[in-house]
Amino acid sequence: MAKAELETDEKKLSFEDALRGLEKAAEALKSEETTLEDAIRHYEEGVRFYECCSEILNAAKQKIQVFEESSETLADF
Amino acid sequence: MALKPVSVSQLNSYIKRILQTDPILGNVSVMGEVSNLKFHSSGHVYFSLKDANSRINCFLPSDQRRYLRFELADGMQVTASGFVYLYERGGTYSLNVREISVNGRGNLSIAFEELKKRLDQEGLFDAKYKKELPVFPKKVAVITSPTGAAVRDIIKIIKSRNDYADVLIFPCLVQGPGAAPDISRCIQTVNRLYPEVDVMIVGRGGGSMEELWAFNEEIVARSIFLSEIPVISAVGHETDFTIADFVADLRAETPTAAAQAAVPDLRKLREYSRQLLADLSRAQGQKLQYYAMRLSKNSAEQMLALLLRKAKLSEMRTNQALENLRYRMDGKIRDAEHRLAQAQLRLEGLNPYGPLERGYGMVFRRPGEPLSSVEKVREGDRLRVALSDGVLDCVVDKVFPGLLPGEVEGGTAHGES
Repeated sequence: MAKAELETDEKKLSFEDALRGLEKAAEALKSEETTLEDAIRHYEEGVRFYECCSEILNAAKQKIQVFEESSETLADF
Repeated sequence: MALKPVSVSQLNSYIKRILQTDPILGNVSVMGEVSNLKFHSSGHVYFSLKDANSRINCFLPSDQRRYLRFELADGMQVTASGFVYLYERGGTYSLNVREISVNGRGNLSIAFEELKKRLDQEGLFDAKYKKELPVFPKKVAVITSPTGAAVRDIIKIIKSRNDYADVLIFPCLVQGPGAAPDISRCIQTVNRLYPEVDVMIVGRGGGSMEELWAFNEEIVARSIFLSEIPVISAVGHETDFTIADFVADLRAETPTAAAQAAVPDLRKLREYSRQLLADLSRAQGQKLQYYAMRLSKNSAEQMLALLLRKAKLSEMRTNQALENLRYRMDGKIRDAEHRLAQAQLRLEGLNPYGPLERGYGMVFRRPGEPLSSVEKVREGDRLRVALSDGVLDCVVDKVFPGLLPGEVEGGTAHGES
């Protein structure tokens, strides 16, 4: 279920969701009850979530702009 | 000379004309204490202004009330400006108010409490309406003065924590009569033109109560309440509380605190996600190790060893049983031998020939007729004596009835033979 979600939405996955996914994967792996198959799946998912997170974090290109009321547009601050 | 009598209407109409053409009464400011305050459902407000000796009725039309910058309350000292107006049908006059100002901190505090009470009752401060702030905003709007210290502080803090979130600054007045409508309009503009904004900061730096007053005005409170985008209020210092703070989704103590609340520290977030990855790898390693261990526990060698151990155990138990059997068998045999020996001893005691071994003899006159008495024996009788290893045929030499064998041994009979 989570896997399919990851594959289809990877492109537009929000940082928040990716981070939560990573947290969940790490948590699931730590559980005693996780089977080996699930563990491998969680690990692979977790790694992809991490890549997603780090991609977003590293793509930072912040803009500081100011709104001009007369033209209703943004200009660099 | 008196005029011809006039009607009531004519008189009132005349007074009205006088009042309304008087230059002073057409634009007058009156100081006094508010009393008998009534908010009509139409939106008009009726009240009296009074001083120690006198009072005047006042009327604040609903369209003027919208521009009122504070909440009216009985007991407040205000200055009301407007014109004197005669109500012809009742013959009463009142001050038609265009503007009211409040002087003094005490009276502003009353206004503050009044509005706070009303909006609270209306539910504008309810926790259920508070929106959650985004964990990872992409766009942050800042509504404040473009020249104040607040905007500089906010930008500085955001930049120091986060190089991801865009910052959109919406310049507005933050004090004076035009500030509240301006702030309100900016909040609406952000919602209308930039709905993708994740969170907005509305505020200004420190100032007097009068300077911060725009953030205590109802129009600002309502715009914050209606905003679809979460609002962080950031007005003045830690000790300043405004109505905007109560309506906002989060009240920040200062503009700096607002910036901290608005965006996450990306350094920490990067560290955290790396930490999670490390956790993940470690947990995976442990999991694999665990399964490898379980697997090795069940290898062919292990199974063989287990089998051998089981066989060994069975062998041991068999041997033990055998040993046990032997032991008990031996016991039984020893027991039987013992009993046999005992029986033999007992049997030997009963053997009629036993005494012969010890030197006794058996005497017969005729075969099969052992002799136990001297009574019928006569001298010259032939007797047979059986000893342990043979037989003697003897002739009786002499008979001594009543004499015991020991006495014979030392007697004459023995000597004579």
